[in-house]
Amino acid sequence: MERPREPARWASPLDALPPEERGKVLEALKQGKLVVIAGRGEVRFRISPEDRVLVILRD
Amino acid sequence: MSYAAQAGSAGPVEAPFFNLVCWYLGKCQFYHITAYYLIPPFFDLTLYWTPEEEDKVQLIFALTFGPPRDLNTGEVVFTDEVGFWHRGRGMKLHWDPLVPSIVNTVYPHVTPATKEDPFVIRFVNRTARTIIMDVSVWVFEYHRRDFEDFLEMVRGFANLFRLLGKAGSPEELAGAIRSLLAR
Repeated sequence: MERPREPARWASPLDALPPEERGKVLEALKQGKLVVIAGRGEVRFRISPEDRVLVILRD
Repeated sequence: MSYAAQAGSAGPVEAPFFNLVCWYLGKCQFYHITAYYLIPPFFDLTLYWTPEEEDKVQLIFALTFGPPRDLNTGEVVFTDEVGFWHRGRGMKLHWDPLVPSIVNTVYPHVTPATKEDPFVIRFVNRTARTIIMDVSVWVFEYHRRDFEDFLEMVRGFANLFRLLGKAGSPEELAGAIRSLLAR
């Protein structure tokens, strides 16, 4: 079965973030941090070292 | 580049034996953790992935990937200048560049992660671009006692088939099964 055509250029998830959170992400990237954007929920995981990673959990 | 090459992981994520234990026996819970990873330029960092709770084991059984993209342009970027080294229990440290033969696959694992034995991922970006990528980590999560039960079952399967393999004839096989059942 043929797979659906993918967009040639993908939207950025940053567009959907509230301005304050988008600012945090851009600042973290500027500081050389990895940014992880995931859903908040019952799932529990931890990534360390925490000072080099910004985790944004979304509802 | 064709659209198929841009597509990311293709195919089903299957783990029938683990499903049996998880759902039929009710010994664990299934989920996947789907997240965007934004990797800044000239980045090199080793990360440790663990369950948050002390008494849990996350058995990572697959990774699936969306295509890596340039955060600023949205352009798909396949390159061996970005990727990750990783290791876990039963898995040697190895390099996974973000190239189609890795990214377009359902990447199988059988890697348990615990607080004291984490899944280790070293992200590397040798380019001047910020790379964004969505990754799903597919997990069966056990309480530690249930994971020990699960390992016991795995040992049972291994021992049974070892026994079957050693039997030289159907009669020996029948004898081996009888002695196993008599234990």
